[in-house]
Amino acid sequence: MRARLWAAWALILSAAWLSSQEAPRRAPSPVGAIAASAPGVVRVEVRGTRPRPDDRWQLFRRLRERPGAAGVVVAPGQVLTHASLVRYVDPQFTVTDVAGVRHPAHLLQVDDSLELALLQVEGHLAAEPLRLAPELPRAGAPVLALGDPFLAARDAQPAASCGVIEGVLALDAPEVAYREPVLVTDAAINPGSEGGPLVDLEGRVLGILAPLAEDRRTGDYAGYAVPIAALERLRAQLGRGATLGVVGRVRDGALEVERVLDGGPAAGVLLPGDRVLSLDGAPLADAQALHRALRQRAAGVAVQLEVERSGARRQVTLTLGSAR
Amino acid sequence: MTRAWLVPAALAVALLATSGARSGAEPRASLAEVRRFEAHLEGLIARLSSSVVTIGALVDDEEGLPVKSGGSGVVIDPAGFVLTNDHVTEGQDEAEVGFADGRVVTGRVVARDRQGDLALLQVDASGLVAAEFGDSTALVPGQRVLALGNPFGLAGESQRPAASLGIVSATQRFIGGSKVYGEAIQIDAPVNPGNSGGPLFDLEGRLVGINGRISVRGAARHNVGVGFAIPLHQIQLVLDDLRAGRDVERGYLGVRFLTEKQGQGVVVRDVLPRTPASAAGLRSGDRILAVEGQGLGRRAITHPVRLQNALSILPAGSQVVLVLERDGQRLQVDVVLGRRPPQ
Amino acid sequence: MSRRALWAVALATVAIVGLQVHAAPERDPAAALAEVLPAAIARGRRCLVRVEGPTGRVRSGVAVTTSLVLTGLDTFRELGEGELHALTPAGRRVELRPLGRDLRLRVVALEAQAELPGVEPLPRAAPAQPGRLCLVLGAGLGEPTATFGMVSATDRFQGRVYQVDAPVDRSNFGGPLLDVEGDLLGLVIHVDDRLGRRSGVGFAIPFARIDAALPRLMAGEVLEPGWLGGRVPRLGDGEGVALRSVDPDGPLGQAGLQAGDRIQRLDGRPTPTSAAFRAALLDLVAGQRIEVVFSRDGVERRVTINCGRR
Repeated sequence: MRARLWAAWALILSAAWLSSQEAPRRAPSPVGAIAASAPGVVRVEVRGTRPRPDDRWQLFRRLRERPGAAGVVVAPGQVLTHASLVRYVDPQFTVTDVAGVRHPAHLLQVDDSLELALLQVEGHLAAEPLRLAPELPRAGAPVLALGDPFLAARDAQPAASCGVIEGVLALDAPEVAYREPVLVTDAAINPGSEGGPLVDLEGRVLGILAPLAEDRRTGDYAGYAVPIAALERLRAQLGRGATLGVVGRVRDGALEVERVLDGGPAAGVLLPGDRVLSLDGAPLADAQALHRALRQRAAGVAVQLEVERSGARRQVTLTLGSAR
Repeated sequence: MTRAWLVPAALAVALLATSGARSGAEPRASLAEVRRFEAHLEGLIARLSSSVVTIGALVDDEEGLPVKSGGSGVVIDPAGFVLTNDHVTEGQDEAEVGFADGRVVTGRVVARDRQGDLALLQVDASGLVAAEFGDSTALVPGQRVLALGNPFGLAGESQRPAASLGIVSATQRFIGGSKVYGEAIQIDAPVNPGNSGGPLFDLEGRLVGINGRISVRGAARHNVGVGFAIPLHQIQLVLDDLRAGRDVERGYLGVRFLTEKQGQGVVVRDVLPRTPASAAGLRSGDRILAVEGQGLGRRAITHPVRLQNALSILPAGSQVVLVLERDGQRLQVDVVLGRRPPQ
Repeated sequence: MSRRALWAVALATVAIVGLQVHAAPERDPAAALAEVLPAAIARGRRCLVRVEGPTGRVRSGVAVTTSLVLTGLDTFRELGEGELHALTPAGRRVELRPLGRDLRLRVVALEAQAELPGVEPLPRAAPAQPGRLCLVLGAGLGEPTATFGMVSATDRFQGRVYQVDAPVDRSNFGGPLLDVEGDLLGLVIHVDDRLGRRSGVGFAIPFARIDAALPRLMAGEVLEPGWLGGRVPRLGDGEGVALRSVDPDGPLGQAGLQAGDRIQRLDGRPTPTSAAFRAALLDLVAGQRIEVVFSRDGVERRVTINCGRR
């Protein structure tokens, strides 16, 4: 009996001791938030042949020195970043984790209207996915913006800035494609921050940082993040894909257009008899290549097509439609 | 026996209750916490301001706007030693030094560390309060810091500094150029033109760095939340020289290495002739795993930037030991750092 | 043994608990701020007014009564010539007409032509010292926003304004500066673009200064800075300010003051230093009748003058 009493007692004491030891590390604070989230922040670099034709973020790009920014590990091997990073047709991505290890990556899904792009890292990405915040923050809530402003980090360690939520509201700026309220913050956001996370004091992801937007009403730059809830909507598009709005078949390394659907994305852009040779720089070697390219892209994304018409080659731009 | 259970049980409940009370606080209790924090800041700023000086700032015009903003500095010795950035006093042997009590005296430049962007001034004034030194190697991202100084020269004739609050955004930044900031502290506390040379304090009120550089967007020369401070531990490596009136040169090894991470340590790409590295027998292909030196301790080289940082904070003439891997063998090489050639 | 052992254990537990409570790391201020700031913002929004100009531009204002709104002079000018409206949170528009303005404080009073629903004047916070935590509310982005920071300095521009490190720009110029309880500290003004937008160097007029001018603003007066027509040295010696030169046509000159006279008091305020003299001067309004106490050859004299217009 006494032995059991002692055992129970020892158990209670050690549990209490352990919980008190655990507390400081879990305690909400800027230090704790950075320690929890920085390992899930990566640097994303992008290379490509030509800039995308429909780039709403060009203005901000002029401020950026090198073609890169940040990203957030949201699932094993999956990195979420801002859509402005998908700045080239046929983009090639390199993801550098906080340990400094570089990995090639490819685009899984991009949606300009959600301002998000999801990348799949090839090979093993050691970083653990970050926790996502369950709800929208209130105005005045302390937050941290993690990223690599001005790409000052030579070792890909992100920098953090602490601020508050200024408001959850809709901005009026040409760069802001996300139509619903965004998380406006006074934490410092600069070229190189975009794609990084806005986190709460526990290091949970509240949103994905966007390039600064010049609000029409004030003429001043506002910093904001797209709420992380948009990730679910991006995921829902995965594998669903988009459509060109033509009937045709892929033969001899080209899509031969037989019919253009009325009112579809290609109406007025493609003609029956056109041969589409490549989509965003990627050659259409077979039907699978075409399907893969369309699966990766959401409706609303503009693509560049190389078209052979009457023996002459030309580049045309087309905004993809919804596959259903 | 039932009674015997009661005591520990009650205590256990009490223990759990107290640990629970810490996590969820009453709004009123939260406000009291915020007010305590605020009172701490107010007390700190009032106390620290007496160690902060304006440097070379000119008088404001009729509208109260500064005609030209100078810089800032910090008293590090009651004997009249004031630390500031080299770029604040560039090309001058003397500078006006203004104290928070309104006094303005002329300071003489004692010595400079041009590449390290430091200048030590001496003033002849009594009743000076020196800043207490902190440990800049212990800073962690997220830790709060206070930047004091004279942004845009707005202190005017009051000479009183302004304070801004922020966090350590990152440590171990390397910013090159004609002025080299190694192991720099990146902060989001607003730092603007005129803050240069001013002190960065931790919230215990101890000096941890000298604010010297900012990143800017486009042509607008003002704070965007990205400032860099020279860490105090680097300054301490050269302070004795500066106090003795000896100008300091930054150390130089003379190797080029692969700047991308390639496994452990850093791989030497080539060794420049007639440099300390060639004299010490370094070869291309050597893998540098660690650096040891006085004031440096032992720094494991986990990334190329760490080597760049470790070497950049040391003055010329420093003796370091490089721990290498060559042809699968571990070896140690002693090197005396030379002078960094002008860029 | 059993009872003694139990008591020993109990005592040890008390000691451990005591140590833990004592050694418990204080909660990070950010965690407390997370609870305090949203409440302060909710409170502060009651005095925040969206002011709409004739071209649809929206800026911020602070309600000091249910029918009187203050905004900055530069902000007022940015709104453009023409009709102004206050937009209530419920979406109602109430016309605002310019009333008085204070060119010293760079503040304009706007009178609402109907009671502003949902608007509530706030209590004033105690004057700030550097280190006071603060919020800046704004309405320039259509919906209320709040940035957070700290009072950086209180003696800028001869003590006319608070300098704050909270980001300010056109989204919150004209809006209220609040303390962490949502009490009014000041009114945010635009000073000079050379100091940058959102640069962490922003300015607000302390509300105590505005309150002092409020009766005259409500009476529709235009308060211009007073002019005395005398120059003082940059630094005083602590025993009154000796006039360096006197404009013979200015109010001081007309009252017979000469270079070398030492000003002791202006309008009842002691002026031991040049800084004190300038600060007192800044509060004077053109046309104001004041007493000037000065000494000449060690003899104290008094004159009453009318402040001129600069």
